[in-house]
Amino acid sequence: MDDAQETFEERVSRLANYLNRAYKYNKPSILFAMYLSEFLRRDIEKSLTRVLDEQGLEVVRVDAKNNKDLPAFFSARNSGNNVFFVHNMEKGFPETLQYLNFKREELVEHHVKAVFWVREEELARICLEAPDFFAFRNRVVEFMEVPTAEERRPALVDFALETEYRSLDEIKRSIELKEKLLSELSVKDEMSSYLLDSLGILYGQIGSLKKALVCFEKSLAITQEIGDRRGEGTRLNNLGVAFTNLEKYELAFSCYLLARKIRLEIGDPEIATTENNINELKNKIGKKEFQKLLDTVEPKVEKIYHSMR
Amino acid sequence: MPEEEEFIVAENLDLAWTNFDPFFTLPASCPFHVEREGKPLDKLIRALLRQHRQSPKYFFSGHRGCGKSTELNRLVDNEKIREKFFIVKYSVKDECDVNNLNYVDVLFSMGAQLYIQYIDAGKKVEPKLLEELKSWGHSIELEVEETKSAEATAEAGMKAIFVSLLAKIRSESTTRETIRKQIEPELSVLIDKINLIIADIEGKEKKNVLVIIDDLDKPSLKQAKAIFYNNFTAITQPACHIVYTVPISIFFTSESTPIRDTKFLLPNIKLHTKNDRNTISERGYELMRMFVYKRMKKELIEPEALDLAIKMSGGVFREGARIMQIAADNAIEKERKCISIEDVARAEREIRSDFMRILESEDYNILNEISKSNEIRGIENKGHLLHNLSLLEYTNEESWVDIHPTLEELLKNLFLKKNALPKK
Repeated sequence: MDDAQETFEERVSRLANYLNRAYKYNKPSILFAMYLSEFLRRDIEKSLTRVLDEQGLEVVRVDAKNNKDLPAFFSARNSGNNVFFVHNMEKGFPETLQYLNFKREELVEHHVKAVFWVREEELARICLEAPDFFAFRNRVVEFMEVPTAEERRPALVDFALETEYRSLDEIKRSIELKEKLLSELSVKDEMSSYLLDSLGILYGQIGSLKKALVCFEKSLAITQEIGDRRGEGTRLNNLGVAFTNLEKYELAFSCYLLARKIRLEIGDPEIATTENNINELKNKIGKKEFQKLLDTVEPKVEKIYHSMR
Repeated sequence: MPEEEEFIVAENLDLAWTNFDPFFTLPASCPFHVEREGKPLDKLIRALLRQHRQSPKYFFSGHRGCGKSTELNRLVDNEKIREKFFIVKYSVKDECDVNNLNYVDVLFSMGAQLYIQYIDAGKKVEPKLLEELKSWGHSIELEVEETKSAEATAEAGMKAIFVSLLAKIRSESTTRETIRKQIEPELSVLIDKINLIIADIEGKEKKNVLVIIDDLDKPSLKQAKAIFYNNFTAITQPACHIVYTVPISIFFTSESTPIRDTKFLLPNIKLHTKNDRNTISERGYELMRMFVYKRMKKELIEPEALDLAIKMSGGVFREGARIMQIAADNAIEKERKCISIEDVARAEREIRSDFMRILESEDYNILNEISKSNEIRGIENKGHLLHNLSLLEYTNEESWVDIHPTLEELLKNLFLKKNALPKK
């Protein structure tokens, strides 16, 4: 069977061509992309979005958890060049299944183009519990290979580190995805450390300061374990920010000092950020308090550092 | 969905791809339509046109994707039917909540639609009836929020009440319960009102009334059973001709079923004879070839590829459309000018994978048995296999069933090698 040897790109372009042709002829398109791993999904989504973008199609991401009545959402949002990427299907079950099953014609009437990102179990439930909707499918495209560590690395590092999002929804979506990715990783490696660090920043952005702290701490532990000095510096710097936000200035200052030390040792230009953070801390608590910190913390930094390991 | 003028025979694969949408219900008198052998719709038309002492009720069904909605569109468009009947056709999913549907909702929607569609046709009901309906409508509304109506005419005012009550039944679960509780103990009053509307329309139009309710095959089998078995008497009370669509699996449950007597099953196209999958029913193949050639030029598919596509459709139109669309897509991807057998084989594999996702281990044993016997007896409680199309029913002199053709190879390998059953 030649299907197994198809490349990732071939299948991505199969989805893209279907959607593009549907757009050209003003047709609805109901596609399922079945995936095994969140890592892979992230890659497929990215490549597919890029191709669709070039073709003048605009991807609209839909979380089924928050939009259980998907047909209504599509009808309200759809304009000719939209392609809906629906994820988190399971979180919308069983209501999502019922809405799709009984309002399937709305997708056709409004010429909706949608890709439903599903895991095997999710697709099985759709077949069984929304059979009339499933009968309307154009095609199921499978992405069931297990990604090797090397394959998933380059693009994902960018993503794992990405923390600039515009809206609260985007931040929450990113947190959810990153938590999922994290749960897929069996070994604590560099990737987990990146993800945890990024999660810490995102939690901080939505005010979950304690969660942020836990993430940075876990991330730091991994960098120390695998001997990633640069990462260690970054995590310590970020921990410093988290402690500052929690108004635990003594701990914050310790982290900054340690971060500065490591960054200095390895010549990381990011040292500027840490210097800056220390200055901000100084401004925040005032000269007098800062002097106190200098007196009390500096001599025992090494001790604090070892207690963290 | 193609517009009226777009029903053209495709001259290239791109256009062929667009003509094989798996979700397109053909409008009446569409050039893509192919007439089935024996014209099964004519049987229903003849039955409706016959004289009956009591208005008959018909239960219309067929496999998912076999063309039910297409045929109902044609029924409404039939000249003789239009001559004899004032037709009220609606989809239950537009009027009720199909996730939570009971027989009271079905009957209420019927009464409301009879009135609404008659008024919308620019007609008027007797003032006395209007008064009666109004006071009845208000009595139900007393329990729920009353409609504030500022309609110009009394007819429009009544329509507003019906529309508002239907909207509540459709989308407000607590109000729906209140309305049901209000109606159910005095169901005869509702049926009486429905019959008064019917009598009024029939008296004025000098025509019989025919109600066609589509999409009643969409609720779960459990809900469908509650409506069509447990409340059979109630739903057959309205004094007009009614065509109910029902899920196909309802005919194959072990409960005794009065609805079997007046069932109309839209058959799948028979492609081989019972107990011999190697035979070829030339008429069935010819019909399916027409189905393809009305949508695209002959040159766009190799003959043996078309034969395989037909075989793998199992004689179900939508399945055929899906196979053709996937095959066309594959051919375009491979930069071929016409669909080859490889493209169809690819579609076959994909559809088989879809089945493997839903079938349970026990299902494979049942399917294997049935693939040998083709016997319809003893398939009670296997309705889910008909429902998911892994079993298909065929009718000629007798009814028989067979497995979906894409499953043949799978079962053969499975039971030949005594492999472990595929996991669900």
